[in-house]
Amino acid sequence: MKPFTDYDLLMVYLNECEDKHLEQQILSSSEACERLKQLENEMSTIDNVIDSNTTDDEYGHQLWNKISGQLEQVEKYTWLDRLKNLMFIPQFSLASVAAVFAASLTFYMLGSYSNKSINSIENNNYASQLLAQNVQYHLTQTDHFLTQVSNMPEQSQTPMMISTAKHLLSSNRIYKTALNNSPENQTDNKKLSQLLVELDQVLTEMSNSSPNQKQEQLYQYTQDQLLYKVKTFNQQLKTDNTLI
Amino acid sequence: MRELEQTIIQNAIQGDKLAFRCIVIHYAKIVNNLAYRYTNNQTSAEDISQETFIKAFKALPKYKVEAKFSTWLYRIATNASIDYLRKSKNHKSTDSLEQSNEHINLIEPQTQFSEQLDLNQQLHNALGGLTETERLAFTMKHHQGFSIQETADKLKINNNACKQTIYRAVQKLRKQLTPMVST
Repeated sequence: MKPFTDYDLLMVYLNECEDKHLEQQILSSSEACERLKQLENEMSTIDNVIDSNTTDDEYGHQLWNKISGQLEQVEKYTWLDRLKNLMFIPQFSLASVAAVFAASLTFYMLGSYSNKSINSIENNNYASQLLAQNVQYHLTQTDHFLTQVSNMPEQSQTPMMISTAKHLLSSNRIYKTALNNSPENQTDNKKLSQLLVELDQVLTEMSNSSPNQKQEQLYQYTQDQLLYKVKTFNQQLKTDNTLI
Repeated sequence: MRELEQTIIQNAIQGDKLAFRCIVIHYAKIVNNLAYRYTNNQTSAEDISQETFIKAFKALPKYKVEAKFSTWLYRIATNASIDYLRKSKNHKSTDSLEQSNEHINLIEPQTQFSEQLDLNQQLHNALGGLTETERLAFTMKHHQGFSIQETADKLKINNNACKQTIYRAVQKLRKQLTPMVST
C-alpha cells in the first residue's frame, strides 16, 4: 500500500476528501492517525499564533468613533440622493454605452426618415407649382390666340394661325397628360383637365382646317363660353399659382 | 466568542444607533483580526473593518434573525476583504495559481535573527510568505468554515486548484510557525 501524502491527510482533516475509500484507509491506519493527530496539533498551534495578534482593547471604541460620522451620512443618503447620483454622475458601463448607441441610432433613423418625408413633400409641391405655372402660361397663349381668332371677322384663317394652333395643340396634350398623372389629381384639378380636353378638340379642328376656311365656323368653337373658361382658369392660376 | 443578545441586534435592525454601537464594540477586534489574516497588513485590516461595519449597517434590514449574527458579519468582512484586495493597487491581478507555485523564500526560524522576533513579527512573516490567494483560501476554509466549493467560487478558481492552494498555504505555515512555537 502506498504511503499517505500530507495532502491526503489535510483533505481528511478539512473533511474535504472526495475519495471515501481513501479516507477509510487513513482512519483505519494507526500510522496515518498519528500523523493526522500531529497535523491537528500543528494547525491548532497556527491558530493560537494567529489569534495572538490581538488589537488594543479600546479598538472597538476607536472604530466606532471613526465610523459614526459615516453612518450618519449613510442614514441621510436617501433614494433621492441615489436618483441624483444616477442622473448627474456619469455611469460608465457596457449597458449604458449600448443604451446611448441605441438611442443615437434610433434618433438618426427617425431623423433620416423625417427628412425623406419632408423632401418628398417639398418635391411634390415644387412639381405641382411648376406644372401650374406652365399650364397658366399655356392658357395665356391660348387665351391670346382664341381672342385673336374671335376678333377676326370675315377673314379666313392664315397659315400662321394654323401653325400656332398646331403648336398649342402639342403643348395642350403634354399638359393634359401631365395633369392626369399629377398626384394632386383631385376634383377641381379634373375641371382644368376637362378644359384642356375641350381645348384639344378646338385646337385639333383649327390645326386641321384649310387656310381658306371661313371664320364663322371658328366662332362656333369659341362659343359655349370656352374663351371665358380659359380666361377664368388663367386668372386663378395667376393668383394662386397652384393647380385647381 | 459569545454572541450578543438578540434584543440588541433587533434594536439595531430597527435603527437604534446605540445598539449598533454595541455591535461594533463587541465584534470590532475579531473583525479586525479576520481582516488582518486576509491581508497581512494592519492598515488594510482597519480599512476593511470600517468598511465591514458600514456595509453591515446598510444591510441590517436584510439580516434574517434565523442566521447567526457573527457568521453573517464575518461573511460581510470576507467579501469586503476580497473586494479590498481586488481594488487595491498593490493587488496583483496576475496573482494566479501558477504564480502561487513560485517558491517563496520563507524566513527560516532557525536563523540567528528568529529568536529576536516577537510573536507578531513571526505571524507577519508567516502570513507574508503566503500569496493573497493562499491567505484568502486558507482563512476562508480553515477559520471561517467555508466549504471548498464556496471558497473556490469566491476566489473564482476551480475546486482542485482551491485544494492545492490551501495545501500549499498550510505547508508554508507549518514550516514557518510550528517550530517557533514548539521551541
